[in-house]
Amino acid sequence: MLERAHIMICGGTGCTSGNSKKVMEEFERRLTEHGVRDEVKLIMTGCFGLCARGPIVAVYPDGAFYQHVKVEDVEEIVSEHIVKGRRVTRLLGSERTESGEVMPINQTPFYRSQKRIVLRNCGRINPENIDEYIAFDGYKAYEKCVKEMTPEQVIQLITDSGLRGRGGGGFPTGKKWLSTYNAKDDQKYVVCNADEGDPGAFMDRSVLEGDPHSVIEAMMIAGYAVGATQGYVYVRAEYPIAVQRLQIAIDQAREYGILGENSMGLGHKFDMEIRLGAGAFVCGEATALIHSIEGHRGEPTQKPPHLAEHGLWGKPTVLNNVETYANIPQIILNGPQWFKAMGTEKSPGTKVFALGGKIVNTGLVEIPMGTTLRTIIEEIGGGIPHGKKFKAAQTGGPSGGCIPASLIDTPIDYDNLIAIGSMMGSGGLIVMDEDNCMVDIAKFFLEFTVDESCGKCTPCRIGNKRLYEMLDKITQGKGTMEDLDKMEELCKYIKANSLCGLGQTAPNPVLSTLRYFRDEYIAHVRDKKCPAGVCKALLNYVIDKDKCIGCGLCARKCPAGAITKSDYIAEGHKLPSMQIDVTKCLKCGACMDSCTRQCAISKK
Amino acid sequence: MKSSTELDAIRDKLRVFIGYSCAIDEKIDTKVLVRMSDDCVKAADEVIRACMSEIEKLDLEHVKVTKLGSVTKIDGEPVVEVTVPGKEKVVYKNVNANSAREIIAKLNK
Repeated sequence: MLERAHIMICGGTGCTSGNSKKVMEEFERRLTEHGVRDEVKLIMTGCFGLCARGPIVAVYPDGAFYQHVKVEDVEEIVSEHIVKGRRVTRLLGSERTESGEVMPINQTPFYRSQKRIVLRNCGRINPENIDEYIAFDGYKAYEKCVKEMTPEQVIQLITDSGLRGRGGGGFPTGKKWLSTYNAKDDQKYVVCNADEGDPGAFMDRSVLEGDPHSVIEAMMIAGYAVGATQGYVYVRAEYPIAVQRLQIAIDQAREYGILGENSMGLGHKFDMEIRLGAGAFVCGEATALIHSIEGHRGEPTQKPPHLAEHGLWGKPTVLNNVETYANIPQIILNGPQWFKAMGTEKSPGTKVFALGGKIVNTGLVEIPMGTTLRTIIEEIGGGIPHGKKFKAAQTGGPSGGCIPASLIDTPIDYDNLIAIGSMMGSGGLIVMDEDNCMVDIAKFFLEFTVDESCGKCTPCRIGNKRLYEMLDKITQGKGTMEDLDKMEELCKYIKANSLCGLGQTAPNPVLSTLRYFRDEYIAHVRDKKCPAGVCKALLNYVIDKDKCIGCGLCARKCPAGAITKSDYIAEGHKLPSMQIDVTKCLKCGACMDSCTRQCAISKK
Repeated sequence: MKSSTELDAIRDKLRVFIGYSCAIDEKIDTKVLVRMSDDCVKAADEVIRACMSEIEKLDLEHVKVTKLGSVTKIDGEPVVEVTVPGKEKVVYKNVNANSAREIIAKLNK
């Protein structure tokens, strides 16, 4: 019988770690207990985006959007909502309309400015069921291409749409396809780059987890357009759920005859396989990725020759990012004009951002290009927690740069971000508040690239290491003003001389923080102070003798035994105040957390 | 192997499913609200089952049935409220399975 309600449970990585699998089992059990199991459809779906409030359970057709659902809450949802028809308001989030009712989820600040194209099926279908993808116009775009269009027309359509690579560089996709199409060879390949390495970025993972068929369909379209019959998805083994769902999707597509010798009886051949990567950051670089698929060491090589002429196993190859592919079926179905109508003139369409760091609504958002950073952070992201002040946002991960608070009204697109010294990257957006030290942030990202450098070329291998040492010196309070100039010079040298994108962009976090937060560097160097109170070597914990009541709680918490009683009794106090021995102090901050009089201990 | 016509058949079969799972990009649909208090849950369930089987029979992907419970007793429960976009709400009282089928059949365009 037709089900009267659909319960969608988020099965993304975030909610899964929040126990959503157990929640699903509990629903199964409770629904059976109440005898309504066959009237309700239970679906494990992809990421809803609002990861901060996970695990999320949505009930349709009512549109109830339950947040922070624990196993214990399931019984209440089933008995109240499903059986008696009364929503459990305490789990519905805090947004209310003017009349005091629960706000429909698509009108909440988090969702109303979003435009979900890439993520359209995430939270809507069961990614492990091909029928549901087909129901939402799945594989229709591929059919349209093969039946009604020539490969040239497909490429022209993608070129007209102005779609640019979503992996970070922003290279026009149509141009890439055209040069692969023009290369003459007996075998060509289509490769999908799902090696998402930026710390804090997880949009590709979510697409593969929530809508794997859209990537398969787009790769088939690419195969038809450029004349390739074999595809590979290069995905990191650190994404087990994504790998598993993609494998299920490929198997189902094969079973349906969509992948294979004669797909859908339309006479075009295409098949694909998954290749697992071990998670090296450099393998997200095109040539290194190709080498890794071939079974060699993941090291980049000189370009040209470009992949379009000399790619996988020396054959012409088209390589795109997951998010780029996920756009393609919709562009084919709705036409290039529809796509161009969104976003800015030079960067049409939408972009998915993974919001992280010091922000209320951590999660996945898809917005039209040209949306300002202010909208993303203040409206969609819900602002900075604990009323702190916004300081900077880091885009593009370790290859990108920091955008300071003064540039918060910049419309986000490829060209604007490059102009202000950052880059789009794959779309990680890390928000920082006044408690973040920018020198420390630059050091963190540089440490990451130093670790992940493959070591093939000298500027990247040694240059970044030297740069890191200089940053470390500054955070230790041993830096000189000449170091700052030397760092800038070295950054420029590394950028100009590195072999691949990793080295060419590695100094970006240092350069952009030097550009916008030079005063913080100077404070570290000249005043030997860390204004944000992060760099331990420049930090001292001090007890205000007149405020301390001498309870001794801090002394008990101190792991180093650095806190002792002094012989000073403040006026009006009965006990002597405490004092910190700076030579023993580890600067862990445990005393500050334990202090009953928050104002008595401070960082200086 | 599935041909493109077979894929169309799947799309057709799951049309009603589509109608049920798009709250994020909400469509304007005909809403059928079944209202009752806790005493009347069983009778309301009968009504809903009748509605669902009729919807399935007539393949009405634009009709959404929801249950709305009340703590206090409602006059003439189970009550069925039908809202067709652009028209005024119609309220039916003391509905049973048979009359529910009639109500749904009227929504067939």
